[in-house]
Amino acid sequence: MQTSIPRILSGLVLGLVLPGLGHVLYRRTDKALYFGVLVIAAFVVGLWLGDWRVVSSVRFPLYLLAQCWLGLPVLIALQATSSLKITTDIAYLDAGLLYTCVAGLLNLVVLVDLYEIHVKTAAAAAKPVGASA
Amino acid sequence: MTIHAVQLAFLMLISCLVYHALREDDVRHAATIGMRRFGSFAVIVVVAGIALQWFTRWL
Repeated sequence: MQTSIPRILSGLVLGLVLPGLGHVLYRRTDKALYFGVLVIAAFVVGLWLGDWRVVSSVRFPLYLLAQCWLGLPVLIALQATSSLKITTDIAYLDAGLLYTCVAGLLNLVVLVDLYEIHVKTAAAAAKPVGASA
Repeated sequence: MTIHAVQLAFLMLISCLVYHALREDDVRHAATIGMRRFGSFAVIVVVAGIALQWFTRWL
């Protein structure tokens, strides 16, 4: 078993790479899948609403500050869609931006949940054997 | 109008599901409560919307 601080740090880094991946480190696979699917679904729906053009460091640098907390999906979207140009009016561009930003910020909330799991696990491990609450 | 409502509802659904998963350890239970809470919100929003529309027409 890893010691406390490296474990939570690696969990947070994993959670930043892919939503929910940090929870796998704490053996909460069901929660990892649940959060991963929800956050990535919000992000993909946002990309779709914005006609795949809402993640861009040139067009929307401020929005990228909120989106970047999603990690790998944002990097993939940047690589895959940054060359696309906006030639016509995109009807739901604002909604797409909102969804992708909410997805990024939700991943921060998921990381806070991971930290809470870490604190509970550490407290349970520190409790002497046979002690009751 | 309808598409905006659907967009808002989807965002609300995801928020409800994530919020309850933060409070519960059991994911299945969290999903059930989240869906139920989303349903209550949706009913309130729809009823309030219809009432508001009726009221503005009446004015």
